Amino acid sequence: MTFRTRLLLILTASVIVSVGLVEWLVLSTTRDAFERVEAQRVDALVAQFRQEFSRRGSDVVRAVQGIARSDALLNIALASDSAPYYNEASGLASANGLDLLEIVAADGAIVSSAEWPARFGYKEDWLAGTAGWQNRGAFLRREELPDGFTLGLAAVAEVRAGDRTLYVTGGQRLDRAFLSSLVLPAGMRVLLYRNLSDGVSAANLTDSSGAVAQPEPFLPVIDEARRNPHEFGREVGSGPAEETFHIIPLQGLQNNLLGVLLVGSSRREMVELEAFLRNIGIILAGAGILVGVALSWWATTRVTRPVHALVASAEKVAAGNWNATVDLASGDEIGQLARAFNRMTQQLLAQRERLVQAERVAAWRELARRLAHELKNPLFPLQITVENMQRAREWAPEQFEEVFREGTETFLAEIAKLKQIIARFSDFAKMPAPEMQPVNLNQLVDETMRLFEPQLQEARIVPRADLDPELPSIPADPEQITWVLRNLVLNAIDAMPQGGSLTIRTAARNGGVRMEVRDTGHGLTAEECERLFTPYYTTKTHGTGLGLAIVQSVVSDHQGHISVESQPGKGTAFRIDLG
Amino acid sequence: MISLPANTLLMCLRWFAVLSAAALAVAATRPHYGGTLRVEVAESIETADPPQIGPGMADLGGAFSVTRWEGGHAAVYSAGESAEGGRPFLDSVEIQMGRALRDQAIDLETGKADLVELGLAEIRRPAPARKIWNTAPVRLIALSFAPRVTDERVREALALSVDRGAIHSVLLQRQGEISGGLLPQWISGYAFLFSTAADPARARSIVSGLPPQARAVTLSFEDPWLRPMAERIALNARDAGLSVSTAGSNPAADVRLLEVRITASDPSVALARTAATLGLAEPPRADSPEALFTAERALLEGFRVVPLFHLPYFYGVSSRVRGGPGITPLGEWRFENLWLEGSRP
Amino acid sequence: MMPRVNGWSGALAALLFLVPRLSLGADDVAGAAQDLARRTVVWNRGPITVTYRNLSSLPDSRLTEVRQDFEAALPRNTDAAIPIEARITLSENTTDYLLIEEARAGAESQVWIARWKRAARSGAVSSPAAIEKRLVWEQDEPILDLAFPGTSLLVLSRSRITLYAPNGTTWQPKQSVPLPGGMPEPRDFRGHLRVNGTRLEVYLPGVACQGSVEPALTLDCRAGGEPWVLESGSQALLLANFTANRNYFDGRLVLQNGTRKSVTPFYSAAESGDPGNALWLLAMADGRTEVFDGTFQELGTIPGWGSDLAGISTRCSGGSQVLADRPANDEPDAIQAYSIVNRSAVSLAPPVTFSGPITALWPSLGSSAVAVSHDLATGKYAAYVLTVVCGP
Repeated sequence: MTFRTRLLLILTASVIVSVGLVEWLVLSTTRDAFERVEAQRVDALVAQFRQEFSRRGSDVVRAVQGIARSDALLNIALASDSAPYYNEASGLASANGLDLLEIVAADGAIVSSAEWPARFGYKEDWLAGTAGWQNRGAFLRREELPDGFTLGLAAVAEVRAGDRTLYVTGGQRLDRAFLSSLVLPAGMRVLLYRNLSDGVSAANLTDSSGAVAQPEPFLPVIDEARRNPHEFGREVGSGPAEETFHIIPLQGLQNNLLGVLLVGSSRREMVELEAFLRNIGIILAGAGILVGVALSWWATTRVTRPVHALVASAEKVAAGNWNATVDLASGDEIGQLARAFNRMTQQLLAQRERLVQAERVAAWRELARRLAHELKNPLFPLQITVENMQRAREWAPEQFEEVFREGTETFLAEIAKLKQIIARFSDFAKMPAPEMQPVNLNQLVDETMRLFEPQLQEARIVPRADLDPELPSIPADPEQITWVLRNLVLNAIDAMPQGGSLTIRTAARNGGVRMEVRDTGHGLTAEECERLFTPYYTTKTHGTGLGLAIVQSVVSDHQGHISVESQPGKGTAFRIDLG
Repeated sequence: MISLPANTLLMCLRWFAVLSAAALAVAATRPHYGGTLRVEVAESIETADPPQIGPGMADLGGAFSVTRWEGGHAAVYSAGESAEGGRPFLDSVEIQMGRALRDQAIDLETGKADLVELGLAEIRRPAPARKIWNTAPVRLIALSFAPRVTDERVREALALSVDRGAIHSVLLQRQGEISGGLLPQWISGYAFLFSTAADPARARSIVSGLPPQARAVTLSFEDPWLRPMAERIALNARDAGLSVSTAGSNPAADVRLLEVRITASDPSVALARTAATLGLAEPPRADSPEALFTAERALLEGFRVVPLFHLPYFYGVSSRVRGGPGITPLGEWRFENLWLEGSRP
Repeated sequence: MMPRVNGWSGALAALLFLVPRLSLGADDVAGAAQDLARRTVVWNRGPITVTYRNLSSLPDSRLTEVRQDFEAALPRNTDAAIPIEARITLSENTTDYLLIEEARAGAESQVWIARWKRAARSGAVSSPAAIEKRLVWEQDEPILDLAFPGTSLLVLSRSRITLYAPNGTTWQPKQSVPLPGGMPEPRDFRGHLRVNGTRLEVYLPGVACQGSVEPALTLDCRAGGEPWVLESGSQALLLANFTANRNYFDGRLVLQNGTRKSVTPFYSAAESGDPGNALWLLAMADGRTEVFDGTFQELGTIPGWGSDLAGISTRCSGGSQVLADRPANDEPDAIQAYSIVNRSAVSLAPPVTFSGPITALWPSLGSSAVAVSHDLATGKYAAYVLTVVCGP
């Protein structure tokens, strides 16, 4: 990831986080404020509803007491036979706006029932004695009708005529009509669940329009209210259809749960406003982010352009073009950095020149030193041989022939060494450029292993080849690579005079190949590993010390890399990465 | 002083007393000729010609003759000069058909009608200026089961669950009589032999042995005035474990609450006609009350028909109508002796 | 002391002889009872326990006859068979009287019905009639009773008795005789007139008077506890003792057959029903109207009647009917005519109303009655003749 990209991302992320954080704060603050306002509104609505409900209750009480005080009831109380009045309740109920009305004798027998005329004579035992309705005003009751049960908001009044008593119990049904008759503010609705059966049944849930269209969301709320009757609030629905419901359990005279009122306030306005604000916020945030990103990009571009220039120059330098300079004229830190870079590259150039000079000088000196060292070795035997010949002619002429003979052999051997050294040096000096072609290393390894098979066998060395069958072909000079392989194998044989194992592995790696030649010989120390590829450095008693230098040179010409891993006594592994 | 034999004297005294009584009777008000009796009925007879049989207008055929007939609307009967027993006092009888009972009662009280039919609701309403004629209990109110109700236990359970006493006391305002037989007591003399007591415990016991699907029964009522009674019967049946749903006229109902008119005072004839109307088998001709009782009891076995009450028909009569009653115990119209106060020939 | 009782019973007997006896139709209750007994024995000879009840219009005395005849027809010796529980009901339909036996012996049961013909009844169960009310006399002083000797009018007032002669449509006073002083003067002073030809009887609390209207109005009064003659309709009579310082009869009665009876105090009496099956109705001092059979066995009560009753004979449904006022006394009153059917009152006709409470109601001339009301508005007392009119 480039610096510009990183910087752009950081700036963009900063903008996004900032804008997002602000947006979130605004929204959450707004939502909290709305929630508070909504809660207050719901409380006010619930209070208003309670008032309305209470007013209806008062209406019922008033109507029932009015009926109890009427002449009609007095006549019934005084009549010795109440049979003629069995149909009286119906007219009284409709005249007083009641759905339910029963006139009950002192013994609890129904004289007249508006809601179920046929029930005359049946007993309403709950009226007699201490049924708890006295001084209760309006209360809830479960009423039985011909077609089932219903809930009613009822009141009871007593009629006394001398020693005769009548009870008047009347009320209004808590049903769809009752709910639709309640005066409610806009956005508010009331649902009534009539607890008339075991278990929660959606059929018992009604609103002012009748059966609730989608009762499923309310059933868990109702179940909670049934299990633990208390007032609580709950949100139902989602999105614009979400509503805040205030749950009010309705209990009868014996504190039994007869119904549940759900007073709902639509959160549509708040939700829509919230959504509007959120959308605006998102739009603004998005716009802000876009602007921020654009600004960030412009800023990063401006900021990173000199950096890019710096980077480009640095890359050039890294690629070896030490003449790269950064052309920046700004006076800021980037300009200072550019000027420092230029100075650095110039210094690096100069240093490189000097280094190259020094290395060249050092290399020549080293080469001269090694060459001198190498050349010097054969010269000493030559000198000794000449001195031996001189001494012998002068002092032991009888041994001069033998000495001359031995001496001349030594001369010739040492001259051969000198020739070899010079030849190797010449080889090293004039290593040709590799001729690249697609080469399969596995094939070269096979050929090399077959070539050295007798020698390995004689040396009691077990050859192993662990070759990757999927090894790709790489561009290489097969002769040079073969020369490398052979060199390494010879070194490995030299490292295992007592025998061992030689393992050659090939594997595909990072788009190229790796070849490893591992032996189980005496191993090398760390210092030896460090100097292993230095020309004329050798650990062997024979050889010119140029083999691994040449190997390294070949590998370098193939744009590859060679490394060594070894520990004394544990063998040595040469790894060559090519391709 | 003439001396008369004692027995002659006593005989004279006797006849003197009779003649005095007769003279006193002659001193009572005499009927007036003239006037039109205005009658209203609820039934709307849609036929093209006036009815020839049945209680009601058909009974006027002897002393009166039809001079105008508008089927379903109105009819006018005029007095026959050569009627048997003498020309009726009334000039004519005007009949309005298809009038609701409530409207008839209003017309009577406002002076627009002289003779109207009264329902139980109208009977209850006090009307001091109104006099009432009523027939004997000739209206049989009964439950009649459809043939598809084959399980006798269902019929018996429903029959046992009905609390006739409460219905009679409250809904019928103690008019008429509770009945367990097809014929009323005044015709048969043995109606009390048929049990009318409810036995809800036994009804519940029977229902408990019924499969659930057999416990649902539909009950229809032909006339709206029978609705309260039907609903009360449904409530009684519910207490016994039956599920009875009520509806107005429904030919497919399992049981109907209906009203059948007794049209003969002869017990054997009345039983045969009533059985025929109810779709029961024709009873054998009975030559004694005991045989008739046996026949009637056989008709009621199986609870295909459950008699509940016998009610009279009630008629409100305006104060200007004299010479009554113009309705016989069977409900036949006898207007030939009626006359109107204030009318002039 | 009742010095006129013996002569009075003779008069009663004469009256009974004079009035033609009505035919009761074929009467075979004995045969019916015996028939049932025979069939019972044939069915089961076990010991029998019988209960009886009367659902007919026949008097309970008939039921007693049924019992006697039935039990007499049972064998004295019964087998050790299953005992029988039987109920015998006296019933009727339109053409016959029925004797119905329901017998049960163990798990078996039987029903037998015996019958005998009854006399044809008049058409209607209840014979609607109309009460015609005709104002006869009005005055300031309380009117106790009226009578019509011949074509004259005799008015018994609180202080005097006055004879009026007809003068067109009005009455002209002809003669007036004051009532004796020193009489007990109870509140709600009551009195009764009886006229038979020219003979005159006046009954007052603690005083009885006799006199005549022709040639002149004369009155001879004596203090004493002479029973009053209470007529009902055209045939029934009753002698009842009036409590001198009160407004009611003390309950001592002498029936038409001479039998003495004692009931609780009452205000008025009337008879209703067919001869031989008639019932007596007494407006008791405790406010109830009691129904008695011919032997003054208590049968029941009739609710909703006042304290003034009068029996009248009409031809509407045979026999006698009853005029009765309303229970209230401080408001406009009304009088209604009733028949007694199965011991229940059946209205014959709508009531006639008065402008004030009824202070006196007496039968008159058999088929009519005299009613006196006190007009609360004017304070006057008005006397009316009430006639029940039905079809010829």
